[in-house]
Amino acid sequence: MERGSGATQSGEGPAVFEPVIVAFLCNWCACEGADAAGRARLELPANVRPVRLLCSGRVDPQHVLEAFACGADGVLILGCRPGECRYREGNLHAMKRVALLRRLLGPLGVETERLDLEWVAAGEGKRYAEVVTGMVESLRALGPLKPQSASTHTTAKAPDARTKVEL
Amino acid sequence: MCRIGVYICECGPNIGRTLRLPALVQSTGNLTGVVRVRRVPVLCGREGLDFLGEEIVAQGLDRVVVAGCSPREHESTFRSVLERAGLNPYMLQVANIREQCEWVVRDRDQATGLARRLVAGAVARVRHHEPLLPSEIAVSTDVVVIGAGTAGVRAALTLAGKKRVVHLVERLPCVGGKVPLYEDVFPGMACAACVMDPMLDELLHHDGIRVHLMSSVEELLGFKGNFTVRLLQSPRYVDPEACLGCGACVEACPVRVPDEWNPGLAERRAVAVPYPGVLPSLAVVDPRHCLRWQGEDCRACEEACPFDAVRFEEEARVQEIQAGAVIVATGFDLSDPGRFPQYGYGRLADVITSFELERMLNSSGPTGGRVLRKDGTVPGHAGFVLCVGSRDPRAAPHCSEVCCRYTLKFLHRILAQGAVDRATVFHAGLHLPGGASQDLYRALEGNPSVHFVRMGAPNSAGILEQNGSLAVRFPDEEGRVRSHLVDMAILAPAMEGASGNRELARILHLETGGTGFFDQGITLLDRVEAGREGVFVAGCAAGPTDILGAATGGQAAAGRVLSELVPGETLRLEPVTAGVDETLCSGCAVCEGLCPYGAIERKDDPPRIMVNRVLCRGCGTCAAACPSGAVHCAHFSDGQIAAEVEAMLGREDQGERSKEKGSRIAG
Amino acid sequence: MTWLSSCGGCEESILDLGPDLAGILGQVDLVYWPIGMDGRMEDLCKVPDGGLDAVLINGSVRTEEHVETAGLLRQKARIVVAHGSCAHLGGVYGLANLFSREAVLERSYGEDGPRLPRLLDRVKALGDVVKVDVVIPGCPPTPDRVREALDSLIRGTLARGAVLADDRALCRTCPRGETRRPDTRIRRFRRVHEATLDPDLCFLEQGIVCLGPVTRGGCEARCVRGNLPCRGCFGPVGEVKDQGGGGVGFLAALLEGASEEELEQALDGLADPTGLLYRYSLPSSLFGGRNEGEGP
Repeated sequence: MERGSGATQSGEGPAVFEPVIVAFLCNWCACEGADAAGRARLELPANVRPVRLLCSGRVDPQHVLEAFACGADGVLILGCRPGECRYREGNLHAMKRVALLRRLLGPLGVETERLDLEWVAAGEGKRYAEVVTGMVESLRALGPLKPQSASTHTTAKAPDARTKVEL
Repeated sequence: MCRIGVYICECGPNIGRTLRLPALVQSTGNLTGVVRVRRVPVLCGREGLDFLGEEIVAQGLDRVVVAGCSPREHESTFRSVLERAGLNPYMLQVANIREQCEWVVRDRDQATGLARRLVAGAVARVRHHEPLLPSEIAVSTDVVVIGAGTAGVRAALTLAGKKRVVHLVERLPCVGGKVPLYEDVFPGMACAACVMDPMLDELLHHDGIRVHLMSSVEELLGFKGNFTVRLLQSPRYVDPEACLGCGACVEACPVRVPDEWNPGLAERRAVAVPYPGVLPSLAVVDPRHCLRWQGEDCRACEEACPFDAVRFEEEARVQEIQAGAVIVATGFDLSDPGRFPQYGYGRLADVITSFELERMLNSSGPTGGRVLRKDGTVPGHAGFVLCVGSRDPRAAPHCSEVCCRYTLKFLHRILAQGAVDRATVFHAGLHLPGGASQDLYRALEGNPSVHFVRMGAPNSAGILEQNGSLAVRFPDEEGRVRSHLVDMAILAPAMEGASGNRELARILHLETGGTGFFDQGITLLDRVEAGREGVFVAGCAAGPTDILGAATGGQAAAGRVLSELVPGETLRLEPVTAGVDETLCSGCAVCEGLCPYGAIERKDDPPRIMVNRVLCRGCGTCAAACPSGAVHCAHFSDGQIAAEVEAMLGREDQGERSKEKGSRIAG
Repeated sequence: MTWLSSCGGCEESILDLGPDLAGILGQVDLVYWPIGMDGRMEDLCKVPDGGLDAVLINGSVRTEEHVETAGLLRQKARIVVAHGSCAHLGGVYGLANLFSREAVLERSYGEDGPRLPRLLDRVKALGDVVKVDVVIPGCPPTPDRVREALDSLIRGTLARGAVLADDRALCRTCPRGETRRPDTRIRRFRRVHEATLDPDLCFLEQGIVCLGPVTRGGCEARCVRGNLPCRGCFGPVGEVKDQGGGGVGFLAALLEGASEEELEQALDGLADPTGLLYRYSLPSSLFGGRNEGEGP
């Protein structure tokens, strides 16, 4: 698999892990914010794969799982600021899904930092740059995503007898 | 098998300085379905567009990917080229390699790698594109306007002026709303009746406008262009054709009850002509108080009527109206100051509301235009307390917009007619927008009879009885408690949405804000958007405004209807909407509660939902929540999104396999 | 019929047919059924390839021995039926995929474990190791579904590629389906023991997680009729790739709250969402089932 096509290959110094991030962008705010970053010629990392949707509320939890399953190290959802959603509450629905998804993904070995939801308004090119750069940096520090089932490390212990199990 | 053409725009000197275009061309050529890759110097120019159109035909392409600038810039331009070349415009995907690649990534290898992934994503996605066609439906251009106040009447007349059939629905037995009850109106101190009566007269005699009095909307079915509105009309018990409003019946009626038109000031009978000068001038029997509904066989009004107009046998009437649009113009109500006991309203005799003063000042009102205390004496000193409930987050957070200005109007009127000796205005900052309001204010400056006193905060005053006078107490801006003695206190209560708004919101599938106004759809550039296609909001129904604002709102809402629903034209429905696969839907209705536009309707037998394409705007939140995968979103389908994601992550060739994963046992 | 990693409940589901079983047994020649009759792997090996009309396999695939058994049966049988949730989706045993193989072994057997067939890195569904022709879903499958499957096997009318249940989610046939209101929002999820359950009202209306919306119907809503919410054993409907993801989609839609704090509070009532939403299907899920470099 071609992981991190933007990986540093220049041979200078130790190889840096380059995470791949799928970013779902709302057409009305974040897409415009990303374009604004481009028009301002801000420098952005090459790690982000933007997917344009009409609303952050379109992001199905299965799209996120699919991205992780296909090798993404992080998923970023960018919507309009609260109260500014073109479809009124799509961004709020995205927020609810992300809150529950994070809890679903934790035990599967997906750290909280790997799934993020942020608000970027149409004019906020600088904020877009900050958000994506920030996520790339935190995932560089975190390292590649290792799904729990395939991992061989034993830091995740099986539950002991005292652990309550949901019925 | 797809025949995809990929056109990489160099955007003049803009793309290719960082990106290695030859490498991009080469990798793109290896992608599944791609039969043609070309670099074009400027694709959006005349030459470039012609070239693209020729290529589509010459190469027999069925799908096109453009790699260049942001789709927000030229997607629609390229779609038109596809359409002219005989392709469905939705068979296009744009990969943004300029704003999101060339211009922002500095390293040439990294930029080229990213561009390859972006183009691969676009190619994989376009393989899943399907042709979409806008559909068209016939529409009704008739309009239902709810509320016959200033905004509703202006809307109705504007619409009727362009030959639209208007159904004006009014809950009360008369038209005109609140303004005809006033004496003067600010800022020009014009006579309210002189402003309103000619307009109301035109309304009542207009052939294109059907006025449904004493009526309410019980149900709104359908959608923009095709609404069915069910009206319930209460009986008047008086034949409007025969009645002249002479009042003979009123004289004969033995029942006396408080008069809603003159609260706290007068009584009326169980049969009444609402107020002097009312339009239409007709009597109405109130079954809540008439003795016949209390089990008595009273026929006093029937016997007194010289025209045999009384009809006790009349019954409520239901009718259905077909209409293309609805304008909500239900106006406002003043909030009850009794909600704040510190003002003493209802307990202290001479604490009244601004509306009660309006009625007293009205020359045909209960006091014939005189300002009187409850004991019949003339107040020497009148105190006007502003912001009663307004601008207080615990009550009405908004400014009610008109209170400061109508208080100036009161001052001019009562000083001109010598109704009081002195007046004091207790305010928390005066809101007097516009030149004419400032003129009104300046004309009072230096007048020794008028005092403006500033309170420390809105809705912070209290009123106590003190030696037969009223003491208005409030903390000033330094927090010191001040007290002023007045003989009469006139409160300016906060405006709130009309009392029936919440129920109406339920019927119309709209939302109201915290203070009952239909203000949830309003944007910076649109004050008549109600939040549902084909439904508009005008005047104070959308939030506090003055008479001019209400009239303008009515005209604006009418303007929207006139531009959106034109006789002989069909309504074009955008194809990017949600739809449902009925063979999968279980009717769990999760989506129904999410749709911001009421576009999803649950059906029984078998349980399932339907998406109304007229109302749907394609946001897709229903599809994201559907636990059956039954709701799909045109042009943003799960398959298209998954293909794009997979390809961007370097797994383009596995797209098909993973698509079938859900049913892999099918083997 | 045979079992892999299984609790035996699917074998019981055969006995659940009651008197009907006698009639069915009269029409078939039962060649191999380790739990019910004597029979050895060697005997099975002697059967010519394709010599069995059909085999029902229950249980999930946990060990290398399971892979071999499944492979052998696939070779011998013309129709392979995945019998029950474990074979269908990976089942409850699939939740072991939340932990590494080593952690599971250590937890179960400590240092001095017995000699076991080698465990695979993760639990799999039957379909991950052999081609499955038909699925009887359920944990355990209901008598109606089992009878239907056996009847059609005997008559030769079994449609290959089918999951023998409804094409639509449980809500469609749920006796409480009509009590669901679309605008209900949940301030805090409750667990079954934290509530006095209304026997006629949709569980979601009561703030109890029910997976009916994201689960294939066809079970006659047995749990719901017994006043317990659906836990998803029939698996997701055809278009849904991931039962947990589908569950997140609809449960999130029901959440009350507009701030992260409110949402976290609402979710605090939801114990072990991963175990709850993937109870039967983790090995078949999009991400939880991912296992690089290990082909079927």
